[in-house]
Amino acid sequence: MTEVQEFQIGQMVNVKSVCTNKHHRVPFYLKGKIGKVTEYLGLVENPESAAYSKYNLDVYPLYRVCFKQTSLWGGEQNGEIYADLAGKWLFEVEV
Amino acid sequence: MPTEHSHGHPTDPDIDAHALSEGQILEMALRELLIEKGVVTQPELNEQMNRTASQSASFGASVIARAWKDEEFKRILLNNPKAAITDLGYDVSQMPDLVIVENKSQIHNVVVCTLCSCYPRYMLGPPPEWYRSAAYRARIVRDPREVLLEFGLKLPPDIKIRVYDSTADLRYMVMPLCPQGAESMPIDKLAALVTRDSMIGVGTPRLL
Amino acid sequence: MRDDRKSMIEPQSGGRLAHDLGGFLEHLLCHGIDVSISKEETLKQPYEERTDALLLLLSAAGRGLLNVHAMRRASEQFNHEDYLKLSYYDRWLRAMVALCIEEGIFSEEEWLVKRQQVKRQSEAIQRRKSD
Repeated sequence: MTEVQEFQIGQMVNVKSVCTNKHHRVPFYLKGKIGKVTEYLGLVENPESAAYSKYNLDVYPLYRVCFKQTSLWGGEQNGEIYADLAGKWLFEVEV
Repeated sequence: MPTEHSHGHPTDPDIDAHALSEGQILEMALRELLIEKGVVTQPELNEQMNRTASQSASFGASVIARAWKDEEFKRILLNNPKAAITDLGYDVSQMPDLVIVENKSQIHNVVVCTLCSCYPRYMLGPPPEWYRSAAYRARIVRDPREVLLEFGLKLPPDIKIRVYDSTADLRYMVMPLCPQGAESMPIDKLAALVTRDSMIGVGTPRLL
Repeated sequence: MRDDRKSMIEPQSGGRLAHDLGGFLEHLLCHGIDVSISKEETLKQPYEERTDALLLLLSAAGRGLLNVHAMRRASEQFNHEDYLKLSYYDRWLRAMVALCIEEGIFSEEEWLVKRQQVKRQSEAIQRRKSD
């Protein structure tokens, strides 16, 4: 797993549309959606492994991503949602 | 509380003439087992409950009020909240990381945790029941303007609403706008205007 | 604890687990949940306050017993119906018990014996009270 910053501020990213019954911190409503990276939050404890053993101490890069309400459920123009998501759940979008 | 069946037996505060609920049984069994195993002690539990009882939104409010009065403090607070709070003389080193998002005249922020119920307890005290409810968690990300209206907060359509979903281990709280006309008030009076709900983002401070 | 959550993804939920609530209004409605937000704040029951303290103590940084991620994982192992039906603290109690057994803090047998014992004690007190 990569442990360096992969995405740049301002970059458009797509959230992987993967469903898993393992512990992960990506809400269903953001999966498959496109947002913009607004901040790199550094390396944080990886909950996907830490949830299964206290001896799993790896980290993953975390990003703040902004989603337009309109791109999620056709919500209003003037609304945004921010979520903090791991790089491993994101991939680059060609704009 | 005396009941018609009370004959002066020494009783656990939870136990009255009704059967214990499943939750009460689970809690009592878990607590007794953890204490027997030496995992936790009764004094530790008492201490934890005291800590919780001592946490309230008035702490968050005092920090926000200070930021309203002191531009330099506000800059540091927004940039590195824990460092700014440490500078005030509080030890928050064991607390989760904190992000404070600032309301602007055209941007209103509101906080939720759709996956569990993450909440900045050390700033705001224990979360209200509605914050943990399925209804709030399901709806605030989808219809924020409507939900805020239910809280009595009517935002003009040109105000942008930003919802922060606390999906990682960062806790979010809102720095509301200082009400117009209150700027010259002393810090303690200002702090009294800053409600818990205004720091979650479902309210705004108002002049009393 | 077996990770048997595969069975907990219900077909109509489209692969979403029960705790993952953002945006899913229809889902609440079809489980008969009132989607209006009740702002009423009742005092916690004493057992809820103690549960809260146990939760914070067990997941406290540095204790190394049950980390917050494992706690969350355990709290996500409910089917949709149970998740919505159980109260916040009742979910956490079940999650803590499951995790303690998984971590070997106590065995499942010890747990069942203790729970039975508490149940019998409370029944005995009730009987005394209604004499």
